[in-house]
Amino acid sequence: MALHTDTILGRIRPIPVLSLMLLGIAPFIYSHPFYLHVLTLTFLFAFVSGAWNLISGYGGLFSLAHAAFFGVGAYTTAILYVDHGITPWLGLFLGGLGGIVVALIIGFATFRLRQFFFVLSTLACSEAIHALFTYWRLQVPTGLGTTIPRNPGFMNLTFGTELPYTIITYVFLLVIVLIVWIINQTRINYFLRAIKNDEDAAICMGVDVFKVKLLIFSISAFFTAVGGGFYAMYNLYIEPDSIFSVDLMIQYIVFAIVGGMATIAGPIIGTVVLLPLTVFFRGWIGGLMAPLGFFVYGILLVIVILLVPGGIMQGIKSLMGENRWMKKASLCWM
Amino acid sequence: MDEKGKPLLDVKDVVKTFGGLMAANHVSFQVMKGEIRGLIGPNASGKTTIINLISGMYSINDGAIFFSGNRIDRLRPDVIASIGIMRTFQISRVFRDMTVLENMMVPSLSQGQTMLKARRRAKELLEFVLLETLMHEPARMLSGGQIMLLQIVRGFMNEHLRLYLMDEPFAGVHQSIKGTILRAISTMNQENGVTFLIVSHEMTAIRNLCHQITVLHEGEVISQGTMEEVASDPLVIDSYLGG
Repeated sequence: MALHTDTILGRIRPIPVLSLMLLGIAPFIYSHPFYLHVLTLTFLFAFVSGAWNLISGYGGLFSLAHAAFFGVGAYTTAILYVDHGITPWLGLFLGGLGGIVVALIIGFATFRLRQFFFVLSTLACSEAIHALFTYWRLQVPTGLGTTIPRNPGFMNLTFGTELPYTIITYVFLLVIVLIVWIINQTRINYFLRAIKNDEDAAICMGVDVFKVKLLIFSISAFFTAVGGGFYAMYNLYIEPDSIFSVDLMIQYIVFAIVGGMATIAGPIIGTVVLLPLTVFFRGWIGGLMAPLGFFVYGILLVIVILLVPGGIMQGIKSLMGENRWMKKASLCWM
Repeated sequence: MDEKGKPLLDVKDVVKTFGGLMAANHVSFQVMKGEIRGLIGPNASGKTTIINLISGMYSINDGAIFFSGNRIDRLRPDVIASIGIMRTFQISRVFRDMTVLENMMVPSLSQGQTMLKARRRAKELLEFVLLETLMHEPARMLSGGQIMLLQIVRGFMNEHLRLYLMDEPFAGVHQSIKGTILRAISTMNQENGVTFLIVSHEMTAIRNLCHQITVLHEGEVISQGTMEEVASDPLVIDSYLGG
């Protein structure tokens, strides 16, 4: 794909780059294991949310198949490590490839459908794969749950302290930001936006809609599966119901929606704002009062969505558009 | 590919039904290279269906469509676009959240053109149709006429363009924009040899532009010829032009 080589440096915006750098410094400032744990989850889910945003935000295809990609990635990494002794680093990559295979199957089955039919069919495919994995795990002697042995070491992707996990997830986040940014500089970005605006018009303009969708769906699935693989190694225990969980998927979808879909910063902002809040509500109001935490979280979500339906990023952009000074500052934004 | 005397577009005995409705009833007509063909008829006579069949948006039930001697009725719309057939829609369909310039670049990029060349060509064409001052505006900010103009000129971005199917390009468009559209069609036809198949109710424009006219009525071709010939055809007078 051809890049805008003439303006490639001009397209790098300083504020997002600085913000990302600040996030990178955060683990060294807030070095308490609990804060590092929250940061690890934040970076990991910003990464997965960014991967989902690629197909659903930029491509306009609201996918609920990502629970399957996440789960396939997790199981590939975990089983290769536990049963075959293959390093989780390779497992993450193979899990990503597994995610692509599943994406190709789901894509072929669902891309002819549009809007709600597409959404529901992706959910159905995802749940079918969940059921398959559940059936498979019921046939093995160890049962549904898979425990991953704790052998700290870089090649085992298992560490005695929290910091390495945080750094790795931060690198993951940088990778997805870079991937989305690069895609935005290519013709694929034009095709995705055209498809999102009017699929019939796009196909009549010569865009191979099916191929573009499949490509982006596969990239999105790859990174989601990598995220799933890491999640398995981080928790050292997986079972189909938790790893293929629709609830978990809804969380990172909400992060992207609240932050702002079809923007690079949206999923990151959404996760940075909401994930610590969920941890806070679970820890502070949790226990017997846990439902109250969900209630407050839900109310907050409704307020944010009512105030800025296009997400926090849209709110920021509108502010910049209305104010002259902010308009100038927006040249540094994205 | 185009042998002398052979039609560029050959619609052969095409049938299209929607349930019990016969939208195209054994429709046959040929369009020669470099021609501007008018496709007229009363509402619901099947004009848009024909455009949708040629562009691959609908599949045919029977018959065949040939372009430059090759059968195209089983091809996908994007493949049909890549061999040089573009189309417009009756209700303009531009990419509303993309800028005018970005809209223009889509057909060119889909044919493998580089960003730089696509942008240069887009700017030239936008200047030609007097839309260059709006090139960085989102398409949704344009007026109805400007959107139609953008939709038309966007099709010219396909560098392989040989046949342009236009569905009501003059409908609801201001007189000055209509003039720009007419000028664009004439120029592309005379200078670039682009063939046009134009569906329109604007008889003045059709009379001025088109070399040949095909008249449809209730999914059937009822007359073909020059404007004078079809205008004097009793079938056409009875079913469309009025007695």
